[in-house]
Amino acid sequence: MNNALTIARKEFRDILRSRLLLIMLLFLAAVTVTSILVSSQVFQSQVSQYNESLQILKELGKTPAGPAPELFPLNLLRGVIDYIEIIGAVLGILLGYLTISREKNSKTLNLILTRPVSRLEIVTGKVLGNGAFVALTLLGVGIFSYLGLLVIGGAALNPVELLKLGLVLLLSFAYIMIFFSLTFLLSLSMKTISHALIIAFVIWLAIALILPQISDTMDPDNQVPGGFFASMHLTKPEEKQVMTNFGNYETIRNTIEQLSLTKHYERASFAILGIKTEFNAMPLADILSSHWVNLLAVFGLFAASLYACGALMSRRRKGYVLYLDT
Amino acid sequence: MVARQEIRAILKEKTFLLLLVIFIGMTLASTYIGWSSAHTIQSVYDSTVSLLVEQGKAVPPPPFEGASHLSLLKNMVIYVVLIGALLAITIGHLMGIRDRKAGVTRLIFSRNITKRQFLLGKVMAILCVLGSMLAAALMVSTVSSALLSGITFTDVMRIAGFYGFALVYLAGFAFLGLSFALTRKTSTLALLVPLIIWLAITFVLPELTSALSPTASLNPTLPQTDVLQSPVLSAIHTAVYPISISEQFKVVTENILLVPFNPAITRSFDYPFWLGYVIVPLWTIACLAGSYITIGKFNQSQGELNE
Repeated sequence: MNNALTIARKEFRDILRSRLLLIMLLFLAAVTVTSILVSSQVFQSQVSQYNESLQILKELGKTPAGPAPELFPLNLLRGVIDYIEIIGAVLGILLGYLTISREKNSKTLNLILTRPVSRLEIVTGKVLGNGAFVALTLLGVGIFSYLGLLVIGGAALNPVELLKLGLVLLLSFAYIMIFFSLTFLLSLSMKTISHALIIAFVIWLAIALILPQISDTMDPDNQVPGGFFASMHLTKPEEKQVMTNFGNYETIRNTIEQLSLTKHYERASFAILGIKTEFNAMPLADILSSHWVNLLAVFGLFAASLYACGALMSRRRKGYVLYLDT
Repeated sequence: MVARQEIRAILKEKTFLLLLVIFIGMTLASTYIGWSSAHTIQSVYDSTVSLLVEQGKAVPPPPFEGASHLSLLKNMVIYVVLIGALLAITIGHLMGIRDRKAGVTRLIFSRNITKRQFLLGKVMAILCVLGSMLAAALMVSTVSSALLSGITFTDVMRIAGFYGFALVYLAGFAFLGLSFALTRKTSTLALLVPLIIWLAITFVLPELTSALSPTASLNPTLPQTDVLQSPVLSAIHTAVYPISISEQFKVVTENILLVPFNPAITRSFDYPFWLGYVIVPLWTIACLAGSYITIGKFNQSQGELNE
């Protein structure tokens, strides 16, 4: 275990020295602040619109039909989740690639293997070092989000909201580490390491962007700005009644969505943060139990990917080819 | 000579071929997805009308009335912005980095070739590869649209115009990939910086200018946002919208494909739709100028990568 911790410390130091990751971190911080700024401005404009309507209704001697817009501070983090889906995954890919490319380029992996260090300790050390960096990054995102909500959004989080934010950051950690493990595996098993990086990006493109894009485009409600059913003035039960005729189509659309890890992450995060408004009034335990499939998909894949990294490293003697040199 | 060599080399690159297959595959899929969702939304509308008539309520007109049959290709606009731009960055990156990795830059410049000729060769190769790729996509889109909805000669011209404009947009990303591949000290950094610029252009700028959440901008039909009500967002929109390259590209290509104007975004200041016809080529010219400056500073004796 000491060996693994030594490798983890070295990994962490290497990452901190890398300009590349500093660029990624600054970018992530910038988009977090941008996203909170835009969301809070959108909310403030909703409030001012409501107040103007209220004033007009009062002058006409009428009472407002709808409730006033209510601020759920965690709702303002929608853009942040979107960015973790996209940029967080890129961060995971880069970490997975760099951890192997550094060793391959300097030919130190073979050297380490001549020392009394087991393959499992190497993998454990690398996962721990990179995991610590991802955790630190997400902690930074959490702090930026908290301060952004406080300063820009003018909303302080209560303990339950802080717990929800913590849970989403934990989910984000698992999500990013899946991409780390995927690229780690590809970089170890492919002969040309730059191909591993580009193939990881292709997988990311499919999982994080293309599959969600296809399922969103297929959604009939998304065919019209503001929603098709809203434009037809249908209520939610009426919408459901209409859609019962399109069961097969909806099953195909839902299956495409389920194929995307990013959508599982998004569904669970949006529910926990109350971005889907129906979850704002629900206790946290009920939200988690209603989304156990999505949570299982993310955490299950995280566990499976870590296991695959360990298994790949230790199977070399049984004939599995690892390309340790560039 | 340089261009010929570059084209031969890129066609041997498995990574390029993989991305190319995905791009062409998505071109084919986009027409089918467009057709399938248009067909379904019509059926959903018919079911809605039956329900409203049953309840004795007024029936609103179909909200997608007036859409041309080229609207089937509206997903392709998004795929150019997503897959096409990534493919373009990869092409530029591979063309810029290959000689440096192989350690042959000194050898190349020991021959009778200037830096500008070297760059011209690479630029020609990029345009040739991107042009061939988009020509293949044009054929796929034309045949699939003809089979699914029937098209006229004018429609074919419009599809060609769309892919022509896509070439201008994508060339900018390829030149960006080339510039960084010629200058950065590591290949990872050379790939990452253009990638971050792409992320900023595709997701961050539309969020700033139109208050769109990053994943919402992946949908060809945008959700309704209103930047007019917020003075801050309205000011940001007015300042940043002209340089929001991906939005300008979408507006122009939707105009070319006759996709109905999407009135989802309320603005305090409406820029003319033709602004994109100027901005997108300017973006490409700026990236080409960047490559020109880069090659001027390129040190052929120290330009090799030892990774």
